[in-house]
Amino acid sequence: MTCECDREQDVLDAITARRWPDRCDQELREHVNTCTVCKDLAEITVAIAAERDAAWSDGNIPPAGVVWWHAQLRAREDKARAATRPVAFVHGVAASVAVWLIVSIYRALPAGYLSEWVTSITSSLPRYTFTMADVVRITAAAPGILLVLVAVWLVLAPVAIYFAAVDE
Amino acid sequence: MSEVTLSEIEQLRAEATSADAVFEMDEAAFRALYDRTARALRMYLVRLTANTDLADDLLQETYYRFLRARAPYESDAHRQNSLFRIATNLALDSRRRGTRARLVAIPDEQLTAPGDLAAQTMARADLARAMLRLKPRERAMLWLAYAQGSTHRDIAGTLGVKAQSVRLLLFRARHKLADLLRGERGAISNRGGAS
Repeated sequence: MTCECDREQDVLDAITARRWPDRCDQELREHVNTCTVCKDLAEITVAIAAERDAAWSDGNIPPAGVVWWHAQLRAREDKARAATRPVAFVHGVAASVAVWLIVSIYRALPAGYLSEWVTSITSSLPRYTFTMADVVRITAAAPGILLVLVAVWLVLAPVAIYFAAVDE
Repeated sequence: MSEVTLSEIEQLRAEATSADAVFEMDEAAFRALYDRTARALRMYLVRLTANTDLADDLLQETYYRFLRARAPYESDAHRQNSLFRIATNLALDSRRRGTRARLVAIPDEQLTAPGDLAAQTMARADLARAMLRLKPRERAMLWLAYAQGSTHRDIAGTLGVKAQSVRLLLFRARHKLADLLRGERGAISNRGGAS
């Protein structure tokens, strides 16, 4: 079966110019009736062109401004994401190296060394318990300290709240 | 009322300039291109995906990728071909990811409408069903050739096939669709005769 015919362009021209089928040559119509290539071509071209014309008004196209605006937003987001990607990568590498170092050091130490070391440090710390009697004794010795502490708190607390609110 | 400082104005100006420079094309040029191409591109995507929601999403994605590409274009035809190529790739990708085409139900009132409207609706439904049974590349090729009027060279560029193969591929797709359309019409007339 041949896949081309010399008259294909004539058929296409007739359909494009909307001369097909009534306002074109009788001879072309007869040719299309006998030629399978041109018959398929005419049938498909007419159907698709009719579909295109009917579909032209189907659906709403979003306005150009909206598409432009969306594209701008996405481009900026993509840019920001691309900019933070190397930083995230370096963080990941640094964390991996840190974990690897800790594991390597831990494995390189002799067994029981770490627990002995922790025990020696904790035992060397001074043991002191701070009781309520100590507080009363200190304030009785220097009553101004308590007043200064309360005054500092009353000044600093609103300032801290103000700066937190301003940042938000 | 809060006062705007000079440094804030400079910062706003800098932000506006950087926003404009996101794409090679400016907004006015984009609007002109969009107005010329969007409707045809949407129709193409609807035919390719058979899903209007997906086609609308892909339409926006197509323009975004086109703008982001920052490619130099020789002419409007070149820009249009590029848009159709991006749209084709996106539609084929979405199909590979498993977003299948679905048939949209035709309201009964349209099928029973008098005269031309009913016949036109039936013809459109026949074509939609027949097109769905083609491969996406065949659908794209037929639409580009006979709805868009694209040349064989443009079709080859859009679909990523050899220009020499387009004639044969088009012939096969056309023959297949014609057979499917005749089958659809035969099935409908058989159903009509049986009832």
